[in-house]
Amino acid sequence: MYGTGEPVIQTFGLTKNFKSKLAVENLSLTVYKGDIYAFLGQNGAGKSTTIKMLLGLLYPTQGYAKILNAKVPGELSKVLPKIGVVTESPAFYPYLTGEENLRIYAKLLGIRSEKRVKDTLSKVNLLGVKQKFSEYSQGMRQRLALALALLNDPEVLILDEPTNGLDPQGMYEIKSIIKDLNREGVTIFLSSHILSEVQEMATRVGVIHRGKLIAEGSVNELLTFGDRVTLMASPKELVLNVLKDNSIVKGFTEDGDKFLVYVDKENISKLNRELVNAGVDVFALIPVRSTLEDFFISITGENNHVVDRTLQTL
Amino acid sequence: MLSIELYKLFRQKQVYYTFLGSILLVVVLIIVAKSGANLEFQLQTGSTIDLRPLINAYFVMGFTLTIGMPFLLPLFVALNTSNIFTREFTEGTIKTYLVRIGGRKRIFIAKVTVNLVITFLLLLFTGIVSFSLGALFFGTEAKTFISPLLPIPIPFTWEDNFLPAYFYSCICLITIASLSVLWSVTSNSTGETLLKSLSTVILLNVLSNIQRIRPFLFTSYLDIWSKAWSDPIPWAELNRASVILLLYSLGFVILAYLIFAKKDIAC
Repeated sequence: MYGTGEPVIQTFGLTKNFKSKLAVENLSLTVYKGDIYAFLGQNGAGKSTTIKMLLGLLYPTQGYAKILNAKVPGELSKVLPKIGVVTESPAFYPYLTGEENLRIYAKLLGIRSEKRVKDTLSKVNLLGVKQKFSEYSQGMRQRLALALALLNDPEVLILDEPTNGLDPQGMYEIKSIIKDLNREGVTIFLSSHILSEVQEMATRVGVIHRGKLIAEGSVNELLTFGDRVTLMASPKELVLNVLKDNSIVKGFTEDGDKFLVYVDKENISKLNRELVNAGVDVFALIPVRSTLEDFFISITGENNHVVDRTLQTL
Repeated sequence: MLSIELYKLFRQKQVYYTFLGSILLVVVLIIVAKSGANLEFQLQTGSTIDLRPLINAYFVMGFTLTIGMPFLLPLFVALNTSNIFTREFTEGTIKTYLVRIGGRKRIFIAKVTVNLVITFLLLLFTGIVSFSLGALFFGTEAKTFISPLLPIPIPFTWEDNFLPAYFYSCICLITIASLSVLWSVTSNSTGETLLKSLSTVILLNVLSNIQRIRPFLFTSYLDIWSKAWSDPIPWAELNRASVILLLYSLGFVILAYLIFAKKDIAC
């Protein structure tokens, strides 16, 4: 599924001050129907604060948000039955089992079917677990939170660090569930600071840094080819002669018989010509696709010189 | 939502501690009475009266209030309130509750209602336990209660004295419960709620020694239940005090709601 143009979540100049600390500043983002929107940022960047404002837990100092056209927080109750949520550090009643916890919320949500509760628990591999919530591991807590989020067949899922504390198998399972749900038409808004985990499933990305949204766009827009190539060539001495003191080469590293060369996309063919003219046998010159991590570091790094890329930075 | 709140409350063992506490109060009272402790009172005429033959279920039931109302029962009530409200904040479950169910007003009303129910149940339980254990150990023959202030055995009736005493005790405890609701929405731990609630009562009690402000402090009316043992019973005074206590309770709850409705849930 991919965003179809109808906004599902929108924020308009959302700002939150905690006494003297500005946690979120003038944040405006849009999540479209069918998106898997990854909300990225370092710890403390303002992701959870933004999500808490979206869910009516924190009141914005300025600005407002809309979810499924309901203004938050005033009209949030009307649309909550259509939303599933996994909050940061999920909290349930510690003196009850996971199933008892889920049954409480099922009743409150008007879900009468016992089967529904059991099916949801089964989906997250918690069916038959008799432990009280206080005895749950972090991974089990995350999975129970996801079960609660799925209990009411939501149209929108808001997930704050959903794979937090999960082992690789647990992460894989959660990602599979998210992708399946999105295929069924559920719009997903998820925050994470683990970029590799969202790169493969996100359709759109927003990057928050020090409370400000500094980039937003589709993953394809953000992750362009270019500015790095893997070069396989010999002899090494001649290759080094060409790469050193070359105005089009921004830098390079050696990795065995390969070189990772930093060069602008439009200069790749020129570099190839120079190598061949110098007598170098070029076996391969492969553009390296940026990862979300590269992009993230490039725009949030303190000594950032790479913001003028073909990216929609804000 | 009300039934869910009750279910959640009765799944917390801390709630049972308050009920066990009231049993313990009665048991200790019975042990003291059975131990042959000096239960003689000297009358103004100089003669003494041995209370032991007069002790019965009614005595135990009345004396439980005398012993429990100044501190223990308000403590139990404040503990239950903090379990209903503050515990949800400290454990973060209020966050899950709000993002799944929504409607702060709805949640608040359900919690306040359950708080009133549990306060009533605690007092009812204390009355039943004290009467039952009193009947078991001392029988129910004479409906007699000896006021600690006026240690003369007076025949009391169930309808005119015992029920009103428990009824006005309930109003006093509802005021304590409402005060605890106010503190619980601003506290970060159950202990903090307890401390704030009981400190408020103690400090205002001290302040009530200033005669000019005494009529305006709710703590001046927290002993009205004991007037149900007076002869004649000052009904007008009791009712006026009840209205003042209930107005205070309403004020505490409204203020608590205003704070809760605007509170940032950052947990």
